[in-house]
Amino acid sequence: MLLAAPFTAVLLLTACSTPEGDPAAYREEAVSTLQAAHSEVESARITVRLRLDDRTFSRAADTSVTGSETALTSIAGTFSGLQPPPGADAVRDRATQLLNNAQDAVEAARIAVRRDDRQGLRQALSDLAKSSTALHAAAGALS
Amino acid sequence: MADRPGFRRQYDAGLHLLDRQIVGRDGLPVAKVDDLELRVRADGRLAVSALLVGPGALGPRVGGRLGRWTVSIWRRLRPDADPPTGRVDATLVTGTDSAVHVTATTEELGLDGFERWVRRYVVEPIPGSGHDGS
Amino acid sequence: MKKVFALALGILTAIGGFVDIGDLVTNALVGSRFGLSLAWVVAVGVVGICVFAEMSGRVAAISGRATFDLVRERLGPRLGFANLLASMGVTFLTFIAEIGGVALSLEIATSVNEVLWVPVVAAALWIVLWRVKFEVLENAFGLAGLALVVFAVALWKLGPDWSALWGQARSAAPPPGESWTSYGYYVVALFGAAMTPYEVFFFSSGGVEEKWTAKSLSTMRLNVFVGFPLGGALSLSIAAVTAVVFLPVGVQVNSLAQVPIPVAVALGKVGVAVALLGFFAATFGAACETGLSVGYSVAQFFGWRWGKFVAPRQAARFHAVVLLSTVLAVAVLLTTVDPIAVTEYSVVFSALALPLTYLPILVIANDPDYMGGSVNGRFANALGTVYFVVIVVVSVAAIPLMILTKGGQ
Repeated sequence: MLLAAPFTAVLLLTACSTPEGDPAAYREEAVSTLQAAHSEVESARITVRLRLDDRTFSRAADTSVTGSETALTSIAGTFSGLQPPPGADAVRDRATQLLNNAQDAVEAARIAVRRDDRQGLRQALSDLAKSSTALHAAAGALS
Repeated sequence: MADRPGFRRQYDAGLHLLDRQIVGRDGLPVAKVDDLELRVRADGRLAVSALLVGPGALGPRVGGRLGRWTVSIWRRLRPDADPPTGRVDATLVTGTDSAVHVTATTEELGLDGFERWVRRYVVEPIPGSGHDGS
Repeated sequence: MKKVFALALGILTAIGGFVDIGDLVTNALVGSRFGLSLAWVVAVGVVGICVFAEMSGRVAAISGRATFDLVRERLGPRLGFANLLASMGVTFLTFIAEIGGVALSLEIATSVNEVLWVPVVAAALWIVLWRVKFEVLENAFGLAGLALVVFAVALWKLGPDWSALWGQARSAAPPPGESWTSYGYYVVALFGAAMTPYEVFFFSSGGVEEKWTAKSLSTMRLNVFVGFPLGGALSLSIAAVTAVVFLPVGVQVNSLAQVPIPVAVALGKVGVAVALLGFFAATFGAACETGLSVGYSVAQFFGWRWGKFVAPRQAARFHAVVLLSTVLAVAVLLTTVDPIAVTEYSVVFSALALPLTYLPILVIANDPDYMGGSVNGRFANALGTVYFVVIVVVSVAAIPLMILTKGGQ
């Protein structure tokens, strides 16, 4: 029982600073969301590049890009579920827009990988690169 | 028992007997010594009269609620109303090194009930159970 | 000549068999987020497992008894039972993770969802443990695990800035963007991945079944002191390639499908194929070992007959435990839980359970009753004691760090 007290205290403390009330915490949450999204988009970009260069198998690329797509959906979903504190709407809109672009790009990449569509892959590569740069820049600007 | 070859005259029974592996005549494991049955000798000293084996013996030593549950589940699973604890008479013990050696096998001692049950209902129905991997 | 061949086989299978899903995932993840700044943990962990594997191997050879067999004698029934529950729990968790790892490897190769592979993998695994000539299989998986050398080859081919990598390793500090609490969490995770408890149970049980004697000691030591460190080097090469390819661009590894990417960059399709073979062999082999280890710990605690070379009819309860564990593991994985998440929990809980596993070995290796003249010398005891202190610290830090970092974020 004695051990439970410090653990409960830590748990309560970590729960206290929810992004919902605190603008600084919301910003931090936005930054880590954008960084996580950037990680998935960049991973998909590298995979698409490898597929275009025929340096990996179509199935391995499919698994990897689909994994990124699923992760991105989850990241975007969690973020949109957060209640923005007053004054944080601009941050929210910008982040949401970037996340939507990222999801579109990764989805297109997944479709192109599964179809083995070279034209589609090249388009996806370009879109993913743009999304990646934008996400990275936005995360940097906010932090 | 203290006069048998391979035994020391006096034991720390807790150290040298309890929770030790019992090994049969065939060199195969029989069970662990879950508890000891003691008797008072003519000269007033305690001697081990038997090794006790099985959940009925281990339960009380584990103690607490877990121990009591173990014993009550074991009693329910036995057909007789007051099941006897698994017992290996001390006269069967031939010696101790890191394990306790006895002159009988698991089957001869009648301690293989659970094993036989599992063998019959779980293992044997599945094909290939007689095949060893060596 | 035959002896040299047998010796080489032993070492090679030790190297190939060292890496499991915990090492794969944790090292790839750590490399992508922390570079090589946690390399020291892998080195320290590998030395630690060498020390304790040698002790438990010596105990098996001299006393003819396996580790868990002796845990109950030394700790008594109450503490021994608590130890059994904890060790069995952690090994079972690792077993689930390994089966998940095999399923993930097959998913990467075929695009068929991992959950669909789980029952197939479990069935194949259980048939192997039930029927097949185990020695042949152990060697096959151990040697196939050597395919993971492709990561070292990929590292060399990538032509990285070696001085930068060495700088990361020397710094032993989190890179910008990562906190000390995350760093600490991954110290715990890497220890748990390198010093997995089941390794010791499996090793000592194998030694008893193969009837090791004092004469087997030098071979055993060679396998441990050469094989395990080289296996650890393989783990480090996985961290290094993700450090080179992913760290600079901010990709954080969170799926097994990302781990072959650096190999694809360096070596193309051939590299990927070899890497996938390595994943499959490492995880399937480890799944066999962990499944058997769950059985070993239960059977050895209760004094039942056990053994991978023993026919199921002769050791019904042991084989029933292995079968039950397999069924339960499949049930857990069929809930579509992420096997990577299970892996991450398994390494942290392994770290938590380390003192429970290693204290009995240290105590028994010092007991002349079991060891005769082969008790620990001063050097072994000094190392053993230092490591014991280290693993207690790691174990105590495990839960607080897990809570503080919300599982490593």
